[in-house]
Amino acid sequence: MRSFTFSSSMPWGFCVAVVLVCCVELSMAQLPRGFWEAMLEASSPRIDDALRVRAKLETLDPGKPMVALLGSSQIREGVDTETLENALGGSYQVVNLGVSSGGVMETLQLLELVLKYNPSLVVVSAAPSQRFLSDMNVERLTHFSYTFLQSLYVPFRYGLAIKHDAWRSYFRSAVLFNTFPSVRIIRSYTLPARVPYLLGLKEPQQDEYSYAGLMPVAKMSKQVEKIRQTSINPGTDAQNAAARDLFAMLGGSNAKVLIVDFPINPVMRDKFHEFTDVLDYQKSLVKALSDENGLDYFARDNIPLFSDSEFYDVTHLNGLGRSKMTAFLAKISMHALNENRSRRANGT
Amino acid sequence: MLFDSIPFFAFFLVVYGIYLSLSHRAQNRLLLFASYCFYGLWDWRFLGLIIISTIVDYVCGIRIHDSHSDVIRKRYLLVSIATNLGILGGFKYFGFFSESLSSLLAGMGITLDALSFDLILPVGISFYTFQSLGYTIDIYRKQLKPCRNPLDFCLFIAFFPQLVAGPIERARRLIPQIQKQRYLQLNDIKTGTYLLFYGLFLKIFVADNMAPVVENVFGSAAPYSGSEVLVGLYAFSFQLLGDFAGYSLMAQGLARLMGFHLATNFRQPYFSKNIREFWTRWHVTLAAWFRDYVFRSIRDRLGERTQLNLSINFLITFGLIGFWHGASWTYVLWGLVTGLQIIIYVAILPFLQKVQFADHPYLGWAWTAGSMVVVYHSFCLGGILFRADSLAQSAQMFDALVSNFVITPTALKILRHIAIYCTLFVLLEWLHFRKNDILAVFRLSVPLRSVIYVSMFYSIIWFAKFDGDAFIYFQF
Repeated sequence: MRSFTFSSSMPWGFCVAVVLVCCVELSMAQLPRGFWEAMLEASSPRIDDALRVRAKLETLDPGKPMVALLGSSQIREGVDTETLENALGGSYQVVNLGVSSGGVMETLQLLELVLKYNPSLVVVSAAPSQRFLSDMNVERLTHFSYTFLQSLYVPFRYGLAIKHDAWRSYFRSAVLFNTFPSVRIIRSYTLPARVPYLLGLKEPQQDEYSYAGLMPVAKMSKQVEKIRQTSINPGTDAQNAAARDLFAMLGGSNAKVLIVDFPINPVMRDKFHEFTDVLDYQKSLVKALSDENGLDYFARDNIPLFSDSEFYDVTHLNGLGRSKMTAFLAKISMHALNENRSRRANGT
Repeated sequence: MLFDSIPFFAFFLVVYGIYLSLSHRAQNRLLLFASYCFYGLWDWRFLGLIIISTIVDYVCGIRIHDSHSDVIRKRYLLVSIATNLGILGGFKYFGFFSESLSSLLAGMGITLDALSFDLILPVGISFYTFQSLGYTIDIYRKQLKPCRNPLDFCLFIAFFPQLVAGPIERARRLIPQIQKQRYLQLNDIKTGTYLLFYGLFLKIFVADNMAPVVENVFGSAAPYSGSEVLVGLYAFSFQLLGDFAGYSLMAQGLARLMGFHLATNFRQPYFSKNIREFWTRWHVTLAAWFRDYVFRSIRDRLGERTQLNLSINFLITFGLIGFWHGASWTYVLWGLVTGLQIIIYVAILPFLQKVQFADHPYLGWAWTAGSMVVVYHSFCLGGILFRADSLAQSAQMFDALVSNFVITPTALKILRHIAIYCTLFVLLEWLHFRKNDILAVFRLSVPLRSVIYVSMFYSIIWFAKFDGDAFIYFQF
């Protein structure tokens, strides 16, 4: 049998290091997202997307009608713009202005920008992260107030439920990011891939902005600064007001508007009741706002069914899912644009 | 599976957990099975090669030892050499020779289509073939008795922590550790864990952060700025050391967790005071292998120990060391240049010994520091040949260093980048150098030790890619 003996010395340095790490992580877990995003202007993923948005709008073809997609990362990653453009016959330029972790405040700000370009169609994703919600536990969504135990438990619980790509996409990053809140804060702007840009060795191209990829050497415009300042979680009442303003602005615009529920991984929806509750509540809220402002709303029941194999995590579609969602959006967009064209032709 | 990947950690945890609960013999069988799984996961097709090499050397080792005839002993030795070098030459150098011959004949006006098989280079082939060859040569020289347990011998060749990128272990060091029962102590776990994390820190924080900078400098087109080439070389030197030393340390750490003591492969080489010392600190196991099996053999063949014979020996040995690194003329040239550096050093050594200010408190320090700077820069300059894609690019970069040395803002930014990512590494290396002990950290005070651990820990998790860049030396 093997022999296993211990010497008497304790690894005190290691023990003290573990205590230090726990202290640092627990402290950083108490920082609300708005706090560190405001402090570390170079770190917010919204900066990447805001700059990308600006770049895209500046390179629009003024002679070609535009279809704008607004919302969170669900629409940003869930729609293939080139495929959608081709499906619309090439007559429209599709601009995907989805913003990672985007909420109703970002959508409102971006809609103000987009409406200056007179889009023919605006598609807005109604996702839980949009935070069209009022009395849901918004704190838990927007604050890094996880304790260690909760942050260990939650990703395990969710990660084990998702079969498809669970280890790589969600399980690993969720464990790392939630167990070590500092990782989330630091990694967003210290990825080695960003190094050449930070050193000025490479210049970012117009379309080379993405949350998951590179952060460009930031040249902040006032618009971007404004977006950044107002995208910090403002609180429940302000969000409610912003949601009402958003729908009112959509209803009052000349563009045809579609509000579309983006799918959630059915495994999550079926296994965890808190998701179902949230989705049901949001559906009723969005429906009420849409009806109030005369907007077309495609709720969860009216979009195609998606399976777990079409997601790469809880809320984001993979390539398979993206193709399906793009095809669906093409169908309803074409219908909406045709309807709008004939209405204008008839003078109504 | 790379050592700095999540799948490998999962693999190791499973293997380690089972390992701790098994008896000695069962541990060896488990490690052998795990090693073949580990290698097979890289590419299962190359398991055959390592098994062939193992079987041939196992049989040859026993036959060499048991035979009383020198002719037969030599014959079996040649079989071992031919098999190992044949495998290595076939997979690694066939294309190089074929293309070189084709180019040479083209220069003479003879057209010959280079025969190429588009072979994939098996991971670790340069390491395990040399390890295996060293075994049979030691037996031939009657410095070692053969290992008669085939499974123990298989484990000696395929032991997964050091299989794909060294250290190149000697049979007389590793086989006894396999054959004897291992008693795991808390000190082994402590040391193994520290070596593993220090290695991860070097790879993830130092090497992977230098990589994009190096790629930008060497990947750009001429004309080059001399200052950017120089700082790019500094970055490359840290990338290379961080990558390779990091891997070796991780290998040592993993092995130590299981009670094995692997050889140290790097001993703070950038603090070497002369080029000869450098090669006792850089890739120690490879240098020792070439010293014992190539340099000494050539020395014995050449007979008289004249300066000329010594110089020829250095050139051949280091030319082969360069060639070992890769099938390219840049590597060969790098080896020859290194050999030349040593020849020059040996030639001026009598003068240097008279000039040294060992007894003077300040001049002695300045002389030592100056020597370290010179040796480091001579290694860095050789790095142009090592890293450049072609001889033409190497020439352009050398030219830039001499004729276009202007300090640019980009060069300063790169220098700042190096300072940010390499300062902790340099400080730790200095500590290890001063105390001549990689585990010198353990003797520091608890607060200082904790700060170092926490710094390394956060450097790893903040910068971890986990499916990131492969280790540079895997390509060898």
